[in-house]
Amino acid sequence: MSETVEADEQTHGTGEAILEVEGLRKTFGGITAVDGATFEVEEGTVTGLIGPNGAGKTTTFNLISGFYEPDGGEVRYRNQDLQDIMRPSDTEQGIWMSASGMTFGGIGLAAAASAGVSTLGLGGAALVGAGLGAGVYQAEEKVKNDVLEVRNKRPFRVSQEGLSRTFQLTRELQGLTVLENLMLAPQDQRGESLTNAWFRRGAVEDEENEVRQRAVEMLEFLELDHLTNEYAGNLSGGQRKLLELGRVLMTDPDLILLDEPVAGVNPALTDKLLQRIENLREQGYTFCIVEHDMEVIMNLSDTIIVMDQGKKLMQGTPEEVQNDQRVVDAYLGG
Amino acid sequence: MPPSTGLANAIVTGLVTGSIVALGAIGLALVYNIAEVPNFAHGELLMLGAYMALLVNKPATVPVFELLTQAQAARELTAVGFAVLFLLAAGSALAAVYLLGGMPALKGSWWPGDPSSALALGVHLAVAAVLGVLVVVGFPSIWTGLLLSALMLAWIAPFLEKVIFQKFRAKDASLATMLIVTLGLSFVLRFGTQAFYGGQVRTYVVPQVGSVFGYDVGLSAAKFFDLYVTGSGITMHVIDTGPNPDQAMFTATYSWLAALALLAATVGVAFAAYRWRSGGAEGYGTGHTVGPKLTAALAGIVTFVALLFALSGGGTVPDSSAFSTRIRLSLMRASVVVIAVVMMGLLHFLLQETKLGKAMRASSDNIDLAKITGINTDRVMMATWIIAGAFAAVGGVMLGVLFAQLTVNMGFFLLLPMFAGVILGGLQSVYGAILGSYIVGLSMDVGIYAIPDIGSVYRIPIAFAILFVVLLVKPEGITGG
Amino acid sequence: MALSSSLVSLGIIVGIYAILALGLNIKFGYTGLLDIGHVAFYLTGAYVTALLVLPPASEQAFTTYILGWNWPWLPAIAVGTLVAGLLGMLVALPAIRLREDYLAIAVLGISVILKRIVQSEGWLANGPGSLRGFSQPFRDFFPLPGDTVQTAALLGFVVLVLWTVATYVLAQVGTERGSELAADGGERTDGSGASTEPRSDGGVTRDRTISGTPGIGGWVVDALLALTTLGVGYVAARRSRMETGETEQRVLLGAGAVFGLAAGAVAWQSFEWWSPFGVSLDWLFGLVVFAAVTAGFYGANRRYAPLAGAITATAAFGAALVMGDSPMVAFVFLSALSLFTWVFGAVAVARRYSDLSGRDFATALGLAVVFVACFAPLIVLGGGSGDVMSSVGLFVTMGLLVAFLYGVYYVGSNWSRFGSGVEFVRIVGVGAIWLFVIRYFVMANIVPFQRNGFGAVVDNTIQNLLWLMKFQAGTALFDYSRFLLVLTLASLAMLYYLSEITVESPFGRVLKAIREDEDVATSLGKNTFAYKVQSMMLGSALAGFAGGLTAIYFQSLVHTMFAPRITFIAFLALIIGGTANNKGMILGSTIYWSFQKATADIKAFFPTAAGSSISALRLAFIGALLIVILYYRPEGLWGEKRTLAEVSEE
Repeated sequence: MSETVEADEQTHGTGEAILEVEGLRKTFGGITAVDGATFEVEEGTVTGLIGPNGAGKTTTFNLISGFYEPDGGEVRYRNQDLQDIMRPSDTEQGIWMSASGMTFGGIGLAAAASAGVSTLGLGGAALVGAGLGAGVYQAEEKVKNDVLEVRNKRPFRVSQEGLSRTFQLTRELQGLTVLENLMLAPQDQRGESLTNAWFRRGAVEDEENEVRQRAVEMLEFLELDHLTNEYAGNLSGGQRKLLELGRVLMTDPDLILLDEPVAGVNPALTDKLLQRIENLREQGYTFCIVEHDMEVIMNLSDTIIVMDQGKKLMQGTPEEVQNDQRVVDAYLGG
Repeated sequence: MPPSTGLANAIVTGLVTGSIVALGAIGLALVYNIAEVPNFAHGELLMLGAYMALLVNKPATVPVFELLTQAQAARELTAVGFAVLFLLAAGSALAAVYLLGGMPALKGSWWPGDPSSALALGVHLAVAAVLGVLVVVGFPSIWTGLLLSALMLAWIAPFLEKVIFQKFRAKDASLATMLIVTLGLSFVLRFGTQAFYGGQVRTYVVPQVGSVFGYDVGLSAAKFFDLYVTGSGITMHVIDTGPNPDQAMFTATYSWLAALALLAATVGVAFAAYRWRSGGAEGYGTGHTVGPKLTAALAGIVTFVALLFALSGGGTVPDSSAFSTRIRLSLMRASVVVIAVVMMGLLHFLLQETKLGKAMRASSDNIDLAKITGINTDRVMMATWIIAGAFAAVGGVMLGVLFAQLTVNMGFFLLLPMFAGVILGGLQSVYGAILGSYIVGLSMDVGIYAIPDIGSVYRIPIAFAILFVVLLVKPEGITGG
Repeated sequence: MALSSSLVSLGIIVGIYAILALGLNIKFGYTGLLDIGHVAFYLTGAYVTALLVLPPASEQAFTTYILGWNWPWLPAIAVGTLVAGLLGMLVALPAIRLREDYLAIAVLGISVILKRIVQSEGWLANGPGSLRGFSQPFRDFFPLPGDTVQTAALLGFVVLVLWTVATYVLAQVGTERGSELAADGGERTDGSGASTEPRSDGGVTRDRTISGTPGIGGWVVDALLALTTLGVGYVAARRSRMETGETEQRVLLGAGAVFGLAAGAVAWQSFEWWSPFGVSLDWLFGLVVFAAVTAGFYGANRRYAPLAGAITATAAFGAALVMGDSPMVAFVFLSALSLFTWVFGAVAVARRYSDLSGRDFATALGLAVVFVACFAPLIVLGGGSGDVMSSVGLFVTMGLLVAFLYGVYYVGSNWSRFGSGVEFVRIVGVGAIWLFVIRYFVMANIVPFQRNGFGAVVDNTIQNLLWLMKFQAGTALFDYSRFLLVLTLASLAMLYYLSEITVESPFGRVLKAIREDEDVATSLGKNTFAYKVQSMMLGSALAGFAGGLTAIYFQSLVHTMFAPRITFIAFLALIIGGTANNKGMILGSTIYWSFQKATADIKAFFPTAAGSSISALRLAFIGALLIVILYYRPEGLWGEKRTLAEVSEE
């Protein structure tokens, strides 16, 4: 079905691991979905992730992208622990602390006011309350981090670092137009801050034009330009897949996790999509792809990781995988 | 000097409050789980139930219907009035069955087995007629009112599902839309009722004195249960405050030894019952319905009450005591708890023992899966609404009895505690909702008692504060995983 | 009393509720946060503003409350808005992580509790009693024609607001029909074509009229528009449609700054404003005025609009100073603008419904006439007295009304058979406009005609036409309620504009993405939690502002004004108008309050005993209306209509 098999298989990749997964575990109410998976993804390659149904591929994706909290193990992106990436920033902590302080301060103020004390007393009560609130927050954070070892869950931080994903079932933003879907994606847009949106409208406007330009180019690249102002909800399944790919690319990622990018896409569009992915690999993007279509994954991948029952079964080139008895057994329900 | 009320009284009051909250919360949780409607109009169902009981209890205060009362005596109906009541009761019963599944349901499609349609129809008609006669004969007792309003709500609630929620579900309305729809519905019901009844506050006529085994017993007047703790033991002194001047009913003294024995026997029996049911009793067919916990509770209560009488020694009220407290409880209030518990028992039986109940539990877990496995989810949904309506009606009437007045806002004020109970219980099961409701009820009354300088207007805020804490700390509820 | 006064009070309450609905729209319409406790923030804004404005409690008899700092209204309302926003944040921080239904319950609970606290805590805000006794801003300077600098300055302010808004809306009118239609739920001329392109200049070239009517008629209408905006507004509106260069924009901004400086200086010098602890802060008022005007010039993307306002305001101010106590100046400016509203309204209606045939208009007129005719028995037989005849009239009318409603329903549901391809809702819309015309220009004249004949009719009609003026004892005045209207509408215009630039910005895009699918927004690196908190803060702050206005308008606050039904009304306005459509909020609130006013009229026909039942019935009807709209037209009247048809794959 595809003409993408290239006779002279050139090698890709820089040799650097962009993503390292070690002993990853995740259970759902007694069922272990991912059970100590360990593998690496090399920068600049397309890595396929395959396995029979229920092997834990999508769960692994959700863990890598920060959408699930792992029960054990570690994910390192560019040598940085995912948990560190997702730690709350100082600003965020500041907001929480001041909110806590404000609440307690308000309660203190109200209590003092109902008790009928002087203005000085009111201020004092408010201050004491505020201090108490801030303290409570600090203590709570400490308990959470040190005692409970609560895992941080801020997937957007992962995406901001350049690790972006798509979803198995396309989740386009139906009520936004195709153009808006793409314009949403770029990181750190000035106009995403309310103050800029209100007070620096010229600068925001300039950037908007830039982003719009990029989005239009992306649409041309994806050959969706005739649908620019269509609501995304009106697109066909294949078009949605393309749109999702485009949206991920607009975030300017380094590593892209694609969850079944060609499922439900007609053959002509599939070819188009694969072509795009190959082009992008040439440009230096790294892909990790979950896909059920064996032909697609064999043609596209530089390395394939086979998962079975939550564990990595093996890892190798497409040829190695095709010739491995264990893989055949796994697929035949061994 | 008589003792003052304290924590014990707050707990008893809390149990009464919790019972009413639970009656509402059961329906709310069922509807939430199975029909997936976050019903903000559920409080209005309680309110409707309370107002429906007026048809029987005080027909002269119901507009239009008042025309059918005997002019001289307000609580006498004309023959036409009785006919209307009969038709209402019988018709409601039939309507509820009809809504369960149309004409086939009336012909017995929901019965187990495959009954002949004539038989089923006949039985349905006969039961409806009996209910109608009951309502007519029982006029104008509040209990009859309770029956009628339960029957009425048993078709009104599923009717609302049919004309409103089903339509929205067919359009794949989002949860948010559903929620706004229920808000709209709550307006329609509340202010529709107000428009019909006018703004005045209504009251029930509740008998002051009832006859129990030939003895006149004050129903609505409080009984005082005074407990005195002295060096030698515990004395219980019961006073009846009405209808005659205060008179002591009985006094019982328990020595420390007896009290200890009472406690030990209760715990022991309960524990033994628990072990009996949980271990080696797998062969019992009803093992599921009367589970170990339930058996333990029942056995414990029976033991406790039996020994309470058996071990009581006569005595007098001590002059001085280390600690004394008073519990106020009227028979009316106690009956609220009893009725609630009986209804919960019935529901428990229904859920565990009948096919319908099993289907309901399955639908509650996963409605799509239930549909695939061949469960008639439409019927399950209707049954859910019927139960929700009937329970809400009982809760509403009880609420009216308890607070001695009916207003159109009475249901709305109970909405937050009910939601609190449901969410507290984890949203997943009716049992969680019941437990949650009692926790909410108890915390409301105990909270009012325990927090100094706090007026009873803060009952609902307390319920809400509990809810908020639960939402923050454990949003899946106390019984949730 | 001319009917225009009730139009004015209607305008004020519509403005307040539109602001309230704008706040809710940011939360629910754009971000998808189901805040059914919106009233909590409205309450907070109202009480904080009032408590700051009030004199100390010790100066009043029989009332207790906290604060009472005697602040002027402007900082008070600012603080009230801020506090409401902060409360929104505090509520949001824990609640926003919850599922949407839990969030709804949590915020509902908070609103109920806040109301409970206000109701039962006597020390806080006079408990169950009402909080009253606060002054309204600039109350003492009215009615307007006066011989002081202050009255001239206030007139200048009113003129500034009116002309800026008038010029802006005039400049905003698109010259293409397609773009107008797309916005009001009418048929889009084509699915994805030019109509949704970012609006280009759309300029009025030499031979195109603003009114869009072809031929000589268009020029006549345009001439009327020019005349009623005293030329300035019209010219500026035309000019602003053309491409303006960078330099030109800067010059305009400079002009704005100069005017702002002048206005600030006048405000500073004229008004004794605020002197806490003996320090006169009058300069602060001047500064605020300066900042506000300059910000207006800076923010507007059509800077000719505020320029027109500035020019006219200066003229009005100067003239008022020179003429002193003479009513002429106010009369000229305000009656011109009153007439402008009618001309512009007519143009807007004509354009919006330009695709309707004469037959459609006639059908709509028929609907309105029949509706009015339903009340004939009641009017003829007399209502409200409770005697037999009036009861008969009542029942006949009720019967007729039921028949009418059923008829409308029947025609509406079978519209494809009768209709001309135009949506039935739009016919009903035209019918409502007809109804307004009949009520305002025909029925309002019945009583004057019965009393004083034809002359009175002319007199009354003129008074109703020049609705911005109050006619009293032979002179025309600009009274305080009209000033409040201008104040409210100015706030509404400002906040509407703010909401628009918010939701049109990348920030708003993220909000919409969260509404559609939060996981996607997260996967694209957006901190959705932070956005939701900001959305809550912004929406709550708007509600707080509306609360502040309410405090000023009603001059007395009582806890019953903040029942959960307020949230419900805001939701109704939102859903009628169309979620995620700021213009729709104004429409929805207009429709709701017009309905309230209309039924209040009708209530007068019923025996007083039935009064409370009628009020309750009205609320029940509103609940039903909400359900019906959600079912038949979930996108609202002006909502975005998405055709969810698959685009064919190539």
